[in-house]
Amino acid sequence: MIERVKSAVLFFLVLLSILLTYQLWYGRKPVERVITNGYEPAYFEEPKPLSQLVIPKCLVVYQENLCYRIRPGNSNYKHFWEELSRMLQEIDEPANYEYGEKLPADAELCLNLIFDPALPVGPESVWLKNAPSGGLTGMQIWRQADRCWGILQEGEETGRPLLLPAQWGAHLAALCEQFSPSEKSLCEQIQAGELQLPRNGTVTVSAPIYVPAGKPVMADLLLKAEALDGELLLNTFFINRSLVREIKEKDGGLIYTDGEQGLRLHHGLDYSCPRIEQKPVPLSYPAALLTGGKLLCYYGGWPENLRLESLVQEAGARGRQAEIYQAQWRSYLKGYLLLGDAEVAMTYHHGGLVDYRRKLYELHYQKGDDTVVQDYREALAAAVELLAAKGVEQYILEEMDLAYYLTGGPLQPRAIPVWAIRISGRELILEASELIPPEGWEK
Amino acid sequence: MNLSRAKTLLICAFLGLNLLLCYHLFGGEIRKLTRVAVSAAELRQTVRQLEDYGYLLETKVDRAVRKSAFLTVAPLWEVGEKLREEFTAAAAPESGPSGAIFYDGDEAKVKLYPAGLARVEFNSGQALPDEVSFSNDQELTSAFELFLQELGPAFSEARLDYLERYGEEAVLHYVQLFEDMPLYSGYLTAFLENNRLQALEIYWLVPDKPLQEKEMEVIPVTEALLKMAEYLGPSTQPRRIIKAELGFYSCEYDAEKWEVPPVWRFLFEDGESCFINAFTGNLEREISN
Repeated sequence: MIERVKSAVLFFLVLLSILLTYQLWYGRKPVERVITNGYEPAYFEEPKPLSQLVIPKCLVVYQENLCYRIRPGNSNYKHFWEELSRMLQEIDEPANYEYGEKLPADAELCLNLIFDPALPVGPESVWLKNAPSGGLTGMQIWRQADRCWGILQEGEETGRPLLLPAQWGAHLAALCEQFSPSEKSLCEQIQAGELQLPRNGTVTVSAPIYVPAGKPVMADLLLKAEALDGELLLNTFFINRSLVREIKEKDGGLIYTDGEQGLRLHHGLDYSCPRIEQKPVPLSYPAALLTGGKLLCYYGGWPENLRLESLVQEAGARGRQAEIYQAQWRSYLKGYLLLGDAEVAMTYHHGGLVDYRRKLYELHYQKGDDTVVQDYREALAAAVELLAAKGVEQYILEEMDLAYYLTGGPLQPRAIPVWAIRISGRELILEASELIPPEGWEK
Repeated sequence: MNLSRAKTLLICAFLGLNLLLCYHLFGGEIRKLTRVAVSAAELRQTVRQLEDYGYLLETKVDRAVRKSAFLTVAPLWEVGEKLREEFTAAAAPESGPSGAIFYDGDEAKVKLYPAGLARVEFNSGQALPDEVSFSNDQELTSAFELFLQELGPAFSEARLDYLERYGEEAVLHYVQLFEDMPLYSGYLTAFLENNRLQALEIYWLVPDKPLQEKEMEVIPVTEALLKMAEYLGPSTQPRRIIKAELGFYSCEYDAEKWEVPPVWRFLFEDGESCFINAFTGNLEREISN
């Protein structure tokens, strides 16, 4: 009997040892090991170099006494800017190229570029590296056969003509010769001064403005909201995910917070990290650009049709500038700026984000064919009538252009063609066909 | 060697092997159950440091290694409906400020707020049993708890946190319990005058049991106490800490559901509380009353 018991015990112990060995070998990991959240850097894309952070706001090509505005997204825009950017990177010291004389009488303007925000130049930049630190707000290229001159503008100050190196002169001349414009890009430069409008109105133009000429055509566009990888976003913002708690809002929004920073995901993203751990340090303009660009690339990425619209330094106490920067990016659809609640707005310092709001849309498809929209004079007349109804008496035109405006709500977003007009310090948006303010726009 | 002796030897060998395997598998867990997060010396040193800040620790503290996880909660909407049915069944809804709904009945006024808070104001007070001696805390709370039982089973998870007295008035503060741990975000406050209940404020939550795999070790109570002193700063008058407990707390959200972190909660004798996040050591909310 005792032998039988021994056999049974031995059998049980052998079985138990097999079970325990299996458990030790393949069993679940201890809790600590599961929840340990080792820091793995997560980001959406590598930061862009400085040479890709700023692109011209306006690029105009002159040909046979006509001017053509090439818009972002157009292959010509990319080609012209790549070449001009390369030239500005090769020309280290602009003073070496100063012409010292007036431009020849028969030299013609062939290219005009406007930079807003300014193109950084100087030792910290990739453009005009030996020039004093600063920012270009414009550049004109004048041409006489194969000779080209560049005139650089910094702020309100226009520089003296630079005779461009012969090979660059020939290259730019060839580029302009080869350019075959489309009728859609035809534009007109309204000179500063009085401008007569239909129905006996007049406006004062404060500075020369390029406006689409002829019969501009545009179409309604159906959009779709940018889809970001939520999991990657969370890993990007929060180093230790195990400390992040989730709040599900009644409208379907999701808030994530670790007590110090908060991220809300609902029709875009809103992020806030009000507590600044380190004392912010001042950044130079190129460094502020690079930091903003890096943060955008890390936290969501920089889509191809997104352009930096502004970069300003926040005003601090006693009128001094704080070491906090505000940047805004907007999308371009078919070359036109998308206005409305569709942008990236970022407040940051050298160490990271303070606030970040991102709500972007992508082109889904075009709705219907291009249709002719009202010309700029009619749009201006309608804007003047609107302002007159509000009691405004002086009309100073500062800026106007065709654009798209986001409408249709979050479920059916669409972009409609509009005239965006800044007149007498007021922003006006008018539907390009009806010349009335679009639904949902109030200013 | 005969077979019997061989079996005995094998039994001994396998017994030893199994003990070794068990030690490797469960030894860590067993050690953790018995180990403490705060030694007596550490506690004494913390008490001294707190005294330097002007805080007197006058309660027992949990020195064991504790684990916890975020608790997912949602407002218990039925509470408002239950109170409305109970006290203002026939009243028509009226719109109040910030999306609140008011029901003005003969007996009481019920106010339901969008985030889930419900408040009952009794027009002429709700009587508690006659035999209650108002000055006796025990009798007062027992009588009120009897009233709570009649109100519904949800409040069986309520635990008296503290009681405040202002002359003829008394305020009973109850907290919600989840698996014997206080969920401070869920609360019930009763306002009494003599033997009559004047008003009732209820914010009750439905907690989801967290997964065990999500549990993490929380910071020791001594660390939380020092964080508290750091956040609140030195006190000019000595302040007595009368309760130090691990629970759950977050501010109220007007949301569908949210996660509540574990907190070390320190209650001062004047009824003020300080909540320190038991994972991060951050202040969850500076002061609540």
